Amino acid sequence: MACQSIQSATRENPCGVAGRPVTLAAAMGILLLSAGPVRAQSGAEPKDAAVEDSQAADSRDAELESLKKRLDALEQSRAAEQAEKEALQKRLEAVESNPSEGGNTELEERVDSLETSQIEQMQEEERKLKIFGFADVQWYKFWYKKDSAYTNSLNDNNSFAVAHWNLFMEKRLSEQFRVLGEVRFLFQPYGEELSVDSELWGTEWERANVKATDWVDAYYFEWGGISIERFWIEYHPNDYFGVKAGMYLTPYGVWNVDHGSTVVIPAHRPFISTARLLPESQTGLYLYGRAFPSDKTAIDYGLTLSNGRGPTTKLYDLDESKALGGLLTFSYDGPVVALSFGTYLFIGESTDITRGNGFDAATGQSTNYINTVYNYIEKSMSFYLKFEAAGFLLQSEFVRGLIRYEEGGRALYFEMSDTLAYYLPDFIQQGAYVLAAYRLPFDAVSISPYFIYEYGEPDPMSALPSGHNFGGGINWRITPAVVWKVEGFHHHANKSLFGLQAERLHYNVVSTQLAVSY
Amino acid sequence: MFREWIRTMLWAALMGAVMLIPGVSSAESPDDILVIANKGVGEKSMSVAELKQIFLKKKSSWSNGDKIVAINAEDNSKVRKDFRKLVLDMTDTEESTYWEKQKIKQQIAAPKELQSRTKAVFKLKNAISYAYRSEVQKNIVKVLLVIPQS
Repeated sequence: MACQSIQSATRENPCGVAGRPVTLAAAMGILLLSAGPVRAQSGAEPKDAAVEDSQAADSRDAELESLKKRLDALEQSRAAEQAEKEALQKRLEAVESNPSEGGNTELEERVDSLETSQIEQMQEEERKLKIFGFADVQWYKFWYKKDSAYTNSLNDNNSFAVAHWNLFMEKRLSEQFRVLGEVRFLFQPYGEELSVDSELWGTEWERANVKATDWVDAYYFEWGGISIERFWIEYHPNDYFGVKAGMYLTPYGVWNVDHGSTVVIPAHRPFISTARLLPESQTGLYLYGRAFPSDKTAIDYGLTLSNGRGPTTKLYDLDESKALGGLLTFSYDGPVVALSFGTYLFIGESTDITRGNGFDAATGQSTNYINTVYNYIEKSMSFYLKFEAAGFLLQSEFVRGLIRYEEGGRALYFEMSDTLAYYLPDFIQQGAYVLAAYRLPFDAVSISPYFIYEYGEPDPMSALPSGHNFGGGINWRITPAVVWKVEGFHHHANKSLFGLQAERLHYNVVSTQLAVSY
Repeated sequence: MFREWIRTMLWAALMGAVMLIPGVSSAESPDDILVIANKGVGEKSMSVAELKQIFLKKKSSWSNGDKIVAINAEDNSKVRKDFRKLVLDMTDTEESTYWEKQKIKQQIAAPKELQSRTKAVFKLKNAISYAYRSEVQKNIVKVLLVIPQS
């Protein structure tokens, strides 16, 4: 079995005697070689034990020392980090509570300086004198019948015209005070035809002569005019109260306040404005304010105290009484609908006089005299409504005034002779318009077709006929500051004027207007 | 391990549900517009309609009567476009038209524009402006209204 075992182990010498000693020797050699270190260790242990113990103790000490040093280093590092963290925390708090302090590096200081200068510049901009305005040029043509009453007074040749050049100058003096002036530059009286003979049955017109010679080069030019539209000084400390002193636009309705040709929709003024059913402007004081019952609604009030109407009221009043006006409006500005309506009531005395002096033969003294041309009390009221929703606009105004002459103050209507004269009776003047416009639903362009109906009943002395206007047109806002309008309307007179039949007072107008704000 | 995975999944599902609720998710978006005011302003909050009145200059004083200093973002900035749409409910052309009209009607101009509005609101008494949430240093100004980006 052993032989089989050995033979199985070594196939090259199957049970051969000659192979056994070689195998054993090799095995012993391997054992000796492999057991060498074991023999040496086991053989040296008793002799090196003390040395080895001493070496191990040294190694542990060194290791402990090393760990202690690392611990110290870590603790120091942690303390430094904690200190840095606390310092950063303090700096962050300082920056958050006041950015101008704490951690102002040079860059931060430069940014801060730049931002501060931008804020100061913004505040300075508010205080600068601002000059702006609006202007418009027109082309228009009137049509009327051959037997019309207008053949001698209304030019029916198609014409171009510079209609408005209005300039605003505004300066904010402080947070509460500002001044505003608006002037309109005019070519008139250039082109103005004035009646030189105002007899009832015959009138002759003469064109104003505005030629003047330029003293520099002897070339002539035509001088024009400047109309001061308004000038006021405003004190407006808050929404609830403000006051304007000076000449201000009468705060009635929509048209008179909106005023500019780029703001109003049609190309022509409505009758209530051209007929001056209420004074366009007044000189005096205007107290006003606004309250907010909710975040979408506002109530505006106003109180006007002025010289009222009259031929000189922009400068001085020809009677002692002052005109009073009261304004109350309500507005709602919702996400879908905007609505506002209001009223303005006006009461005032209007007077015109002539002054002179003469010679009293009885006393031999020179005497002064004052004659009253007219003196009346006016009580007027106006209402307006403005509704906007989904591009649709409905706007309407109504003005009605009662004129009652004082004793001895009735105005002369016409005089036939020294003994026969007609004086004006008390009268009512009134007018209204309804304007409907729709902004077409195009994003790229803002085009609004509109229709307007007007009714007018002016004072008996007015050259404007009583009647109805039917008009319509297109308002195209080409840019926010440029508007082009094309419109036409028909005037249908309903009453005779100065003995002229109503049929002779109808007329038609087509016009186009290019208006800009600047 | 499995329980932890289940817990994570449940938490993620809850957060997802919260994100779907309008106003909750947007309230925390960095693109929300914060309406900021100087800390001296007495108002504690404000509605969008009131904000519209202020930035259209229909309302010009705080409830204590002090004048409001409204500051706009720069005209072509993204936040101005978002503000115009969300608060004024206008296009840029409509807003320009509005101010062209107001110039003639009321002789008033649009609020001034500034890039560094948070700093301006911090420095200017009675100032109000707006900025994205990510741009606002909340500690130095008062937040009157959060307008979520929908």
